[in-house]
Amino acid sequence: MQIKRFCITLLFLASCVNLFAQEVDFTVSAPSVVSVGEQFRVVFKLNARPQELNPPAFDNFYILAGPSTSSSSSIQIVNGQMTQTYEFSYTYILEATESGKFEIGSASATVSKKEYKTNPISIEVVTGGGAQSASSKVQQSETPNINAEQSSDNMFIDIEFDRGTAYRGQPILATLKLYTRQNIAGFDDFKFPSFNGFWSQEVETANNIRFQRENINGRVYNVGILKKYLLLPQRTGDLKINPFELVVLAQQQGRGSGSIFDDFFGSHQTVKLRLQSKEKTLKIRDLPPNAPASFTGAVGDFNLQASLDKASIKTNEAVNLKVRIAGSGNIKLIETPKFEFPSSFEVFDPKVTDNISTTSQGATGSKTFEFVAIPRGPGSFNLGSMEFTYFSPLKEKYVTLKSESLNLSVEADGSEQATAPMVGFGREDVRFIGKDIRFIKTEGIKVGRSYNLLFASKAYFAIVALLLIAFVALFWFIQQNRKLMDNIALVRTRKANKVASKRLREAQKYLSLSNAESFHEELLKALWGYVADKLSIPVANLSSDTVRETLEHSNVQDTDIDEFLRIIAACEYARYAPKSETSQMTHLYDNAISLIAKLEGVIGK
Amino acid sequence: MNRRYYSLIVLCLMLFAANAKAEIQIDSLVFRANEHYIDNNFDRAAELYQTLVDSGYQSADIYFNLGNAYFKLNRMPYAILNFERAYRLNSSDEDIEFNLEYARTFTVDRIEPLPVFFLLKWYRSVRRMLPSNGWAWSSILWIAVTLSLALIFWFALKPFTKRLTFSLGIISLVFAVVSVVFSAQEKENETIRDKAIIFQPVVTVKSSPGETGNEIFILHSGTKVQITKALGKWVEIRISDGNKGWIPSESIELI
Repeated sequence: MQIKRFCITLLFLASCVNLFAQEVDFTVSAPSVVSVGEQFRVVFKLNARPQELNPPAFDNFYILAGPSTSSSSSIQIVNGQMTQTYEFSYTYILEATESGKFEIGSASATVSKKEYKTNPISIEVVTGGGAQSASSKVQQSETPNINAEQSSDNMFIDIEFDRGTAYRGQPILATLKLYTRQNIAGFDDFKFPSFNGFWSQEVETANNIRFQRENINGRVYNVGILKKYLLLPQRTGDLKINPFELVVLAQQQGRGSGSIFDDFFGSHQTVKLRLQSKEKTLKIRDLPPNAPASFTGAVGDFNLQASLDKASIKTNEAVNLKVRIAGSGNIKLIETPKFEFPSSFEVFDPKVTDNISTTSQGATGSKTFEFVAIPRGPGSFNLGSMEFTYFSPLKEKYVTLKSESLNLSVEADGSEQATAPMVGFGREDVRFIGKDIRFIKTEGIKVGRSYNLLFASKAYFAIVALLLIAFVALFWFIQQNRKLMDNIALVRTRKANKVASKRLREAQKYLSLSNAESFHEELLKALWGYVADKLSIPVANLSSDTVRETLEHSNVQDTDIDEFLRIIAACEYARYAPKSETSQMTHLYDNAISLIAKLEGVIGK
Repeated sequence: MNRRYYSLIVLCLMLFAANAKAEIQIDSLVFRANEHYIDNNFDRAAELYQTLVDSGYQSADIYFNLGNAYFKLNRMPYAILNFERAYRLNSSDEDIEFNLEYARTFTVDRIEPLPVFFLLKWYRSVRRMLPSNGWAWSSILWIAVTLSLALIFWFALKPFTKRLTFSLGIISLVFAVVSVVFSAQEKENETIRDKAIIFQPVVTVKSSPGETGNEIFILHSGTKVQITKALGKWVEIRISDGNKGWIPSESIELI
């Protein structure tokens, strides 16, 4: 317990020692430019309590007030760590009496028996017009001593370039500045310039505007940087930079009321002032004409690295060519450098990554291109070396960088399709490059004296009439023919019975005469003839088979057909037999008559 | 008897020979004109084609070639006139249509044609597939087919044959009728010369015939117009957007 307390005390003491041990800082701050008759402050600041402080002599200035001293101290404890800061300031308010450049000597202070000195400062006093500002920093609380006249003399904006001429692609830094001799309450409307013909990028600047004093043509202005842009010229020639506009809320002392309070308290009026910068011209030179083929628009100062990720791969595996371009210049606008892979490689679009920071010195960083290629065939390839050309504005010439030679060995992976290169790449639509009429007709030209139209002409009607006549004629002919055929068949059928009975009568005559041969012949004729006529069978086709078939077709009963064929067979047999009985012949005759009667009943109708 | 036949044959041969001779002359003329055209001697080519046309020979191909020659000579109204004439004789040729369309883009007047109902457009494009004579032959063919099918239908014994020939016959009858209608309409298109090309560089179209008429609109050379009326030296024209007016007849050339 005792030990712990002791330690804490020790620690406290140590921190106190630390306070005194920290570096003593003794500075002076004063405006660099003032005008004659202007009041300004000179402040000496010390971060420790001095035992003694000797201000310098202000020979050329009239001391209006001072020295006034002020001190402040603060103690901070963060995470048990205590820090104490102390500030002691010693302020004079001076007035410049004559113009010229004057030096204020160094002040000396003694802290812990040690003497510290400020650096001597020089103040330029100009015989600027009546307008004065008592503050080095714009502070609204200050009461400015202004004979305000609302003119662009008291406030203007301008755009400055770090160089007036540049090569295409060479970065130019544009600074937008505000010059004021009045207090500013705020900004209202800011119309940024459009940098036509440039690729522009804003450079990061501090958020709040810090004003610095500058001597412009013998007048003192507070100058603040509004914005900074990095411009990359894209066109050549005299490029105009359009003016930019800014609306400033300026504070002015009230005028015209004449009240005593106004003079005393200084009533303020906030006035809107629209400021416009002047138009400026930049001269952009084109790059020299004889650019090497590997030039892709890079201007600046660069270095190149190119490497393959693998030295040997198998077919259909991807190999990665990494190209890194680093340096400063228009690095963002560098196009992909060309690299030709052998034709057996399938190449994909490169992947581009960049790491670029834009500062007021220009864009610096690196851009990386990753080419992915897949070899489709095996072999040992020397891919050559990567080339990259940039234009150096300092040397005013093109510089070509070359990487070391890239080698790749590709082994077959065993699959068959690998050897065939991809087909169907490189196909494109037909491009039309011009338009013209189609060419004249040179072949098969038929020339006629007059152009006869067939339709509704005599020839046309004649052809149609001919067709109709042919139709009618054919119709008539076919019909007549068919009628005739029908008639013949009809007559034959009708006469069949008569013919048959006539023949049968003949047969009967031969029967009575006992002439067996003639009888059988007539009987055969009668039967055959009857069937042939009745069924319209040509005589040439007559046979027992056709008769059977035709009779079957005519719905004649099978027993009758058999009977018919039996009688025929009997007649044929008896015809050539040496002798035959009359009773047999009579029987055959009766059978034939009854059969014909039966057939007549079936097929006669 | 024999002698008479002989003299007839000789007469026929003589006629044929004369015809053949004329044909050879024309062929050589066309050939020479084509040669001139190929040698970029468009002036001479146009002259030869023009003599052919002027002497009464008609052919879509000759008009087409003449139009091409005039086109190359940058005489657009002449080129358009001849392309139009070629198109009138043969509206199914793709090259003629293309060159006509292309030559029209060189005219000053841009007239929005009245919209045509799409069914009518289809109908016209089908009709335009064949010239009038083609449709006439087609009609003869289909009439013959219809009659033959009618014969077969009449005398066929099997019901299937009857049904088949009946339906086929109806179809061929439809074809025959369509061919007749198309042939008649195409014949009208090919014979009626009511379209013209403006040849005068600038023509003021008036509301009535005569110099006193109010001026309605202005047309430039190369524009196609339809003649609707004629009165003395004045013709009433109608342009493709439907506007009408009167112009002097000497400022136009009939297609």
